[in-house]
Amino acid sequence: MLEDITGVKASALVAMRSQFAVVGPVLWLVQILSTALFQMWFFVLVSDFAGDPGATPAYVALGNAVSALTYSAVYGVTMSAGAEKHIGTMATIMGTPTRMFYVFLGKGAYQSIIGMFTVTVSLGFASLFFGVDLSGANLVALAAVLLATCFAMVGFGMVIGSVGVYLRSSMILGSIVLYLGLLLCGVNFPISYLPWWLQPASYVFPLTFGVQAVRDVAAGAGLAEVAPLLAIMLSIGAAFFLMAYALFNYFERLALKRGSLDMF
Amino acid sequence: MNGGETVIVVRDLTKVYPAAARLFGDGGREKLAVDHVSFDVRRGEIFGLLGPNGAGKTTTIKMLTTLLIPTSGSASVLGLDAVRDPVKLRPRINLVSGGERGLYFRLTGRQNLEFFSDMYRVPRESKKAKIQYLLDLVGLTEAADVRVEEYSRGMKQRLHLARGLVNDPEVLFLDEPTLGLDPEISRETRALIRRLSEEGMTIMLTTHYMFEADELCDRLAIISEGVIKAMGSPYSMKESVRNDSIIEIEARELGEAQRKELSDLPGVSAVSIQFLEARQLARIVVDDAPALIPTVAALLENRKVISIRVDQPTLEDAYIKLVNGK
Amino acid sequence: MIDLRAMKASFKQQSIHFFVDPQWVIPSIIAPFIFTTVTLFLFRHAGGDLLLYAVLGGGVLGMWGNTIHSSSWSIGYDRMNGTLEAIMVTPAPLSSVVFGRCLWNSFLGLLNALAVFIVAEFAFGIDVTVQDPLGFVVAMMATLLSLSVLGMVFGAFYVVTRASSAFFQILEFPIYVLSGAVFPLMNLPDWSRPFSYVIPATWGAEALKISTVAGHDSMGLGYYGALGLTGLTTVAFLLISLWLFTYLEGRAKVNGTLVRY
Ligand SMILES: Nc1ncnc2c1ncn2[C@@H]1O[C@H](COP(=O)(O)OP(=O)(O)OP(=O)(O)O)[C@@H](O)[C@H]1O
Ligand SMILES: [Mg+2]
Repeated sequence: MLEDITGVKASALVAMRSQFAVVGPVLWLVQILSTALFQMWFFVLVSDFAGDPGATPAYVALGNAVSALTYSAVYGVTMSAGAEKHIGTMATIMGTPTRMFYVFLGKGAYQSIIGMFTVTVSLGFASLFFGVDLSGANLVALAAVLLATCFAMVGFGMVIGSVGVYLRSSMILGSIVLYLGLLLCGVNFPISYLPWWLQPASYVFPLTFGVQAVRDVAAGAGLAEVAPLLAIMLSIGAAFFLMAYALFNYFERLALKRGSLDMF
Repeated sequence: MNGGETVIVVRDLTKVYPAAARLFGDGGREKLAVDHVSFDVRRGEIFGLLGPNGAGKTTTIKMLTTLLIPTSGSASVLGLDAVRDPVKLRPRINLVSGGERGLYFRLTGRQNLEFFSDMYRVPRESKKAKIQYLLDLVGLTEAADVRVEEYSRGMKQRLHLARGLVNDPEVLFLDEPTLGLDPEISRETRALIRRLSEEGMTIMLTTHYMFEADELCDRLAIISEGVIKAMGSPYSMKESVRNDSIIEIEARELGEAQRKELSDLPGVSAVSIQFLEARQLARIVVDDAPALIPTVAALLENRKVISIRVDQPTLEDAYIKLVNGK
Repeated sequence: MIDLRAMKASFKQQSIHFFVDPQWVIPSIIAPFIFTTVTLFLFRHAGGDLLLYAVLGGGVLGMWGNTIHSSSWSIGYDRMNGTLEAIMVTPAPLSSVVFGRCLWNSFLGLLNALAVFIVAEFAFGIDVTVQDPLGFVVAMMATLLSLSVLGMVFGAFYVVTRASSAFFQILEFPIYVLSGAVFPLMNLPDWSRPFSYVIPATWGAEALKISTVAGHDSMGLGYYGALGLTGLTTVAFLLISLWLFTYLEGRAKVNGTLVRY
């Protein structure tokens, strides 16, 4: 267990360094922030033009701000599996005694920090430029809600990332999930707009609960009022982590059998 | 061999890699990789560039193949300046780099060759037959329509060679052509290189392996830290250590410290240590072996010496003397 | 300057890459596709021409998404594979190699556009009838070509550095916004207009809308005006990209950055 924790730390460091070796820390932040902000702007402009009272620019801006978390928490974690295969280090890691799950846990920890930073800046932006009113929000509740969302989303990202140990498609899955959130999670319009058969799918994504919780907090809800949503996110988050653990072990074995570790 | 037309002329060729310009973060430092190198290669010759890691071999080859612009000095191939005339030069030369990279993995061997034939404007009428000929030549006929990602390392390397031949180059540059190949495949590769040379192709190659240079090259240059330390035929290189002899010591506790101590002894011109499993093999190039053995033995008293013997110098020893010697 | 045979071979090479593993087109389709679908949900109440407007804009976004992901990555792929030097030692100009690949990628962009139209027609029941079919096809081709050329401009930077991918991912979303594909350019702030005007996709989208939506001509250019501007911006970007390749190849040869990944 202790060795595992060392592995987590080492891989968080490697995740950081390898990312920065390619683009540098500043460029990476610029990339992730500009994407988040322009995406927000895009949908705000669309909503402004469309004039739907159920999905006002402020509604859209807040949803997009929260969904900025997906970029690092889900996509970043998933992509690192693909990237690992790219550079051919996957097999090397597998050769070490550290289990794959813990390696990804390290990556998740690193991406969470970036994610929390992005979402904070995005919310600030949304309230400065796009009329999102956070003046009545309980900051403790807001922080709690964002942390819980991040936790659940990293778990979700790890479940998807586990596929990457075995298949090269994890990067593709990652980008599908990244954008599907914009459609299914009540980010840009209420879930009730979706056809009835699609609505259950929304509740697979932790983002759905996160966005709802932030909307509630922005409307003045305190810690007690969002407690049920918090509980949901913490429990599905925990479930995702358990599932990821099982999947990593399973795929690790499968990959070793099929020799698909460094097939990219 | 002698008296052939000179096809590669290199004069005072120098490359300083500029400090990396980074948008963010700190850049690296300037790096002098090749330092006033001069040599000539005649038509039909196999010329070798031999040196340790980071000696500047690849850098030199890149400057000759129009991939890198020298900081100063000149390089001309087939009478064409590598900096000013790349458009005329490129169709007449080719470059093969060792290792696994440098092929399209998702394409089959044949598709790779087709792509590169088009890049060289190989006449359409003869393209198909030419590719088949090359596949046969390197022994990839059966794997021709299999994707490269399923090739073994040796197969990839042979495909590299075939790729290097699609345009019938007059001068072929090979950067470590046997890198990572097993002895059997390496031998076949060397046989192929010799055959190309016999058919009149001029070949310039780099290698780490002494025996490879010895076996293949008509002439070779030993390069270290960007400077040519010696040049001539493998035979003349061996001549340079003809009057030396070798003390070979097998022991269990030799290290860098001992290498330095031994090197500092008077009468010793170079020392190399090969690290084997649980023991080391030191070769000491000296002018008078019998006279030096007692001194050496005394120096290594507590180093668990297994055996000491006197040997004839080889090309390897010449190389060590030229690269590491005082 | 442009080597047709190298272009053709690169077009073919890119298509083989696609057919070997077609799933890789998904990442470049998914963003614009979902953006358009979200847009259609937001436009539910508007109806009529506005919906058609969104569909066309979505098609253009789709093609753009493909360009930015695949084309600009074209040389990046060679860098990763270690094939960049192998291409560079051949007499074929690198720009022609990239041009050929970009053309294939834009051609695939039609798939993106098609996906958007299918969803519009069947999931949202929007009637996509085209006012001027010939004009529509011509405008579509012009837009595709203009995006390939834009892809080349981005592709050139990979000759120098692998960090380019970050730069162009940074550019993906601004161009969704600035091209004004799914909302009128008038809704954008004044300072951003000049940026919109130099993007060929802006004019391509306009020509497409004029040929499809009866009576649409928000900028008073007419079909030929919009098409002409698409052509003009395309030629300008082609010249810029050819110059960039020459310049950046020269720099890479001094710095020795062809092989680093
Ligand atoms: N693109 C580059 N930028 C900066 N420095 C470089 C670059 N390429 C090589 N160098 C440096 O130049 C020196 C010579 O490198 P070069 O690759 O020519 O050596 P080599 O003899 O081919 O070595 P090896 O046997 O390891 O292939 C080395 O110190 C290397 O670190
Ligand atoms: Mg080298």
